[in-house]
Amino acid sequence: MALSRLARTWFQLALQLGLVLLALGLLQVVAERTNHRFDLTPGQGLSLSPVTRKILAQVTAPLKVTVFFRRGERGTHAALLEQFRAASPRVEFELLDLDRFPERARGLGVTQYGHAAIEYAGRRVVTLAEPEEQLAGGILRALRGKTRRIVFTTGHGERTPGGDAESYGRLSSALEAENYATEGVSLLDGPLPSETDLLVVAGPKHDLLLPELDAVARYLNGGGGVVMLLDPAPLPNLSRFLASMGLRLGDDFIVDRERRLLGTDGLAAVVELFKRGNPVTDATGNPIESGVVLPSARTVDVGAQVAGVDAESIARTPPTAWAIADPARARRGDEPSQAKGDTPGSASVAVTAEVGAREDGAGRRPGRLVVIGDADFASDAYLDLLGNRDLALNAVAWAAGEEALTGKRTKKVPEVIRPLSPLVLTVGQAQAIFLASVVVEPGLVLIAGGVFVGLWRRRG
Amino acid sequence: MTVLAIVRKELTLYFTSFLFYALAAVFLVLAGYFFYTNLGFFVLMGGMDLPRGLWQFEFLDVQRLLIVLVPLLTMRLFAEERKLGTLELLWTYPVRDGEVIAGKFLGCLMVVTLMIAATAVYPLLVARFYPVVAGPLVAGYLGLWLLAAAFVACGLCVSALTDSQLVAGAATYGVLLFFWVVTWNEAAVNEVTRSLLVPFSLFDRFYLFARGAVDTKDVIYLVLFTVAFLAVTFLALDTRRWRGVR
Repeated sequence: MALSRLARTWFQLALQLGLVLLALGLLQVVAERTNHRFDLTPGQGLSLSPVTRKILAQVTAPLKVTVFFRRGERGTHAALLEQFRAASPRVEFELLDLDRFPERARGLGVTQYGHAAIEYAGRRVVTLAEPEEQLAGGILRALRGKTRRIVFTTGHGERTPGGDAESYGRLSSALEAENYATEGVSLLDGPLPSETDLLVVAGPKHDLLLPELDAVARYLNGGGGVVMLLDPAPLPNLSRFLASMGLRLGDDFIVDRERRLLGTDGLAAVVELFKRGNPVTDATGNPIESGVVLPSARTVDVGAQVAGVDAESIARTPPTAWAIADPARARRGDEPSQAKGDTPGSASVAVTAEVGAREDGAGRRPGRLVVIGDADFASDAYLDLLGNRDLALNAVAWAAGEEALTGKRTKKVPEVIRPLSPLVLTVGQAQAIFLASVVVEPGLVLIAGGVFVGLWRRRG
Repeated sequence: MTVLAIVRKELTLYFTSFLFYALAAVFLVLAGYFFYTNLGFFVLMGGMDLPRGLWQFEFLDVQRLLIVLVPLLTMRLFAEERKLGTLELLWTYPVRDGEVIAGKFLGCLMVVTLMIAATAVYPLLVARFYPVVAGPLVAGYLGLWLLAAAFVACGLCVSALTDSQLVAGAATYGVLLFFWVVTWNEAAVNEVTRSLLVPFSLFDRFYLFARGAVDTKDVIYLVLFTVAFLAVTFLALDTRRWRGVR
């Protein structure tokens, strides 16, 4: 009898324990499904960028991401994928160890660690599973079904999509992540390739010839997108071409000595004044708050209204800047002087223009033109300074008619450790920190504790 | 009020024992040394991001120290009193089991909180040479504190099950390490088992805090982890009534 009572009591205990754990487990399930993340890092480094969110908002059917990870790296992939799933309920993901599921990986076209197969609407795209930009770009490719084509003009000393620090290697990689393929083409060799989605004239050192500009005009009037990034250099044909659309390309060099960036020669212009509401520098809700740095800028402005062209200036330098009439004097470091024709004050450095009727019978959109008075800002050396990357990618996205990709791309510091730190300590300072943290603080605790305990015991 | 009286008694026991100060000093020496080496690493090759290049590593190191430290503080909570017979004396007072558990839990948590707070000296030192953003530190310290609460609850529970401090300490290490490393060796378990274990991994739960973000599901997990062990402690103490033991 006593034994059965004891057994019953043990059973009740087990039941109570089970019920408590079940209740807590259910609470956790609810918590997992209704969670909210607070990113307290500067620059929201642990959150998805607005551009990625825009891409995910376009997912209208089930999208499956299968990541094949290297053993030990599951956690980093899972953290990113959970953010994607939280942003779009249509995103599902599966994480598989490539060593355990090689056949499954081959079946999905994956042969390397850290790659993902994205399946959407019968299409399949294989891409890097991280960082965020790569995965978002893969999803965009799966959504679009085809890669968009960007043509860089060649033959005039333009920037190339890879090479030294002056090249556009990093910009080119960023564009590839956003579903663009870049190629160089000389406009003298023949017509633009078919299905060109965007034409980029990036920092020509020599002027374009008239037949080339005719090709640009035809492409623009046919609803194409053109981005011109123009360093200070004599470009009379290009100036006339832009003037025909009411745009004025200044033959000058902007300097801003009062707002000189630390470590620069004072020739760089910091641009913080952006026209509100335009899709390049102030995409809805995502302005380029940090400003941009134009290392060697010239003025570009709207000079006159021309029928069929809707142009506006979108970025200006601060009032502290000067437009020096002779770029050679600016490069020598001469002081600005109104007597020598230099112009003080805020100057326009970027314009956008829509060319042609907004709606024509053939359903074509107007041509879109972005002109920025600097090419250096998008080069490998400067792309990640302040908001330069956002300006370059937003200009491309708007001109190519991809409004979905305009916005702020939160700076993602790569996971790789780099031999570069903003914190510099002398040996003396490091020793002081060592003493304070390893010796003084613990020593004080020990001494104070010993004294207190001794007094306590003496007091009885 | 009873809870406060028990908290006061626990704090008195800790603060009048030289062993506590020795433990705190060892904890601070190790935490300080980790900070110094992490800082050196950041200065030489930590990149541009202070939360990711320095604080993340510091928080992960301090939580490892907590795993070592907390069982040493909790093992005596019930086991010592049971061994000395003072627990029996305590039950003769008009106190409820819940009040005793709450008092001992809060007392020990306050002590651990004090130790964690002492590591706030490190951001202050860095702030003398470089701007320190508070957000990631708030996330990291919140995570450390919730983790400390979970560890204390676990240690309290184990201590309530035995009258041997040694067994209580060793068993607490075992439980905490299990929850810590449960997902470390992905190769040792199949996908189904792994997916069942992942939600219980304390390491995975703390990682986001250490990097500077707070996810409500992780906060709730750590709170529920704490509540679960306190509930088990309550049930364990309750058994003495019908088992006829102290």
